[in-house]
Amino acid sequence: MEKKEPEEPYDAMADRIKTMIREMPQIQPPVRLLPAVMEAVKAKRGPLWLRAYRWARSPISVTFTPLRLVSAMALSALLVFSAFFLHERQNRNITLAESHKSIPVVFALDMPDAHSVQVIGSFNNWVPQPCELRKDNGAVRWILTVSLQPGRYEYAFLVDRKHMPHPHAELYQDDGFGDKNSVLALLIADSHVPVEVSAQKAQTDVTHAVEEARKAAIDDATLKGLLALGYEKGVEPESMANLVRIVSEVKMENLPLEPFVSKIKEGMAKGVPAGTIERVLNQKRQDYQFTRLVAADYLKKNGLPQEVAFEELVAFTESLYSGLSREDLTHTMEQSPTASLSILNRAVHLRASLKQLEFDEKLSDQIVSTGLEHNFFTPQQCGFARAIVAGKRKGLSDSKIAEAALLTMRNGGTVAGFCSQIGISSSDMTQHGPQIISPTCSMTGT
Amino acid sequence: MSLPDGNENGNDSQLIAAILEGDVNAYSTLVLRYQGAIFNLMFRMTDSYEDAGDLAQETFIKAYEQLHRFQRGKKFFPWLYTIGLNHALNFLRHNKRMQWVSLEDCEIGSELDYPCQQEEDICAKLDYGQLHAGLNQLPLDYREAIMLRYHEGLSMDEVAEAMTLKLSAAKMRVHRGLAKLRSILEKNQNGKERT
Repeated sequence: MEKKEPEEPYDAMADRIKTMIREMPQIQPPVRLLPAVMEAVKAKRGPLWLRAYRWARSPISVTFTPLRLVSAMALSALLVFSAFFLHERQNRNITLAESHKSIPVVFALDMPDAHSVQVIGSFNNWVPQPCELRKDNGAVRWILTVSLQPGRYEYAFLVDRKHMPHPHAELYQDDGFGDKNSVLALLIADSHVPVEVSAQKAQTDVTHAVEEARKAAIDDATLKGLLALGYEKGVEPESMANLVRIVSEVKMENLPLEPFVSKIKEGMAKGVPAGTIERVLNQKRQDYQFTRLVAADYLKKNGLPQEVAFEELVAFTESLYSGLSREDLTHTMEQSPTASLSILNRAVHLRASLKQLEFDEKLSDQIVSTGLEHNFFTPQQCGFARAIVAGKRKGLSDSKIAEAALLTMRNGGTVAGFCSQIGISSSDMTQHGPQIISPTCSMTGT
Repeated sequence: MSLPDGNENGNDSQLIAAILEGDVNAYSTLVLRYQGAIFNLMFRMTDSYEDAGDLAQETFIKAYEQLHRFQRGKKFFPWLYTIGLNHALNFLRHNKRMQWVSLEDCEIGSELDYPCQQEEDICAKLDYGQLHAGLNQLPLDYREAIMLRYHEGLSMDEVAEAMTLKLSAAKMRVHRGLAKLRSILEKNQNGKERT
């Protein structure tokens, strides 16, 4: 509705100009304009995709009723109790609060000449977080400090917008798209309750795929996140439907969703074609199925009547992208005496680090088997792999490192003791790779 | 000349709802309705029939892609026009064809103070060729403000929305644009008569 403007005094000239502008003849647009536009928009992403996107952008509503609140509190109590029980059973000397609290992690890169440095990773949905250029320990470095929950993360730097894995990470992993990511393993907590869902036949378009995903009990927040990103990154609706369908199938197969969802987000953020993302997801799915079988077999053989927790399954499977083969994985399990999967995972992580360092194979095998035999791979010794990496980078021979490592493990020593044996200081540890500020993972800790 | 009110084949909001529900063909009504205005905007910006056609086509495609972002209850044309204007400005910048005429450099001159009789003569002799030439001499912010207001028949609120301005700034653009255009037309005619 047009507002009435104050009347101006009559001005013949102004009125004449206004009238002429109003009646000014238009140039006729080309006849081909309408068909060209319609042809182009029909070839674009379908309106169903638009509808899916609108849904994806709508806010997520959470309703609490007093009854639900009571149930939620009861469930929390149960989870805390279960976690405490598991925690005690594995005889860890860390408190429950410590195992769940955020750990500050500092990413630092010594490239002061770069114009911009950002960090992308599974902890920030692969959305670049800028680093600050500042003085740190006398050197000018690009720094980013984040707070992370215990877990396993993949990350990389974007140096002047170019992908670059951390030059001094303790472990790398193929991203499946032709690049490498660095791996950061923070103390893994135990607890997960898998959900049983019934299988549904998948359809091809986005809305059907979304409906099926919701039936498979995938939460709206996850779906909305994927759809919104897919739309914004220009993913074709058929491809998006396929990606959502794979996620639904993963959920129905009772595999952990997070690595798959994160891989899709990573692929989209890196501009990887949807077909390649699909291929990577299918390979990942097979790897997860394989690892679950192997881990369940290990538990059964060793008389451990527990299920394979998602966190453990993720760590085992993702090690396959850090240079370990399926044979390496089964070999490590075969040589292990009865141990929890989390301890076995630390052994696998160490084996992957040693392999990437091109550490002597026989010595690697000896270090891993001795560690397992002497129950050395506890959370308190989680800096062990980093210490070996630091020693190797300092130019120490494999045999010298192995000798000190074996001695430490056999005598029930600590990582700090191992470091002093091979002449590694805490600054050697912190100047390479991400710096983890945690009492349970520090060099001077237990 | 003003834009159709959009009631013939459903109003703009109904059409947009239909498109978002899956009826792609409903977009053709919107294109038909606004192709003249958008094409002419592009022609004013580029002075090229070919470029204007391409830019108009790209504007409609962009608008379709962004349709989910269109806020319900708003008018479609100002929103479409904003997309078109930004697209044209990007095109000009990219092709280094942008001719910046600062608004400050273009303050309304009062140096020409014609007697009443002379003004009537100018008024009588004014034709579309002169008007077109005068509009082309205006900074585009002034030109587009008065085109939206008087040629497309938008309200001041809608002019402000299309040009992403505050209402007071939009009113000032229209007012000053008109005064400047008048000054240019008078100057041009005066110059012509002297030669």
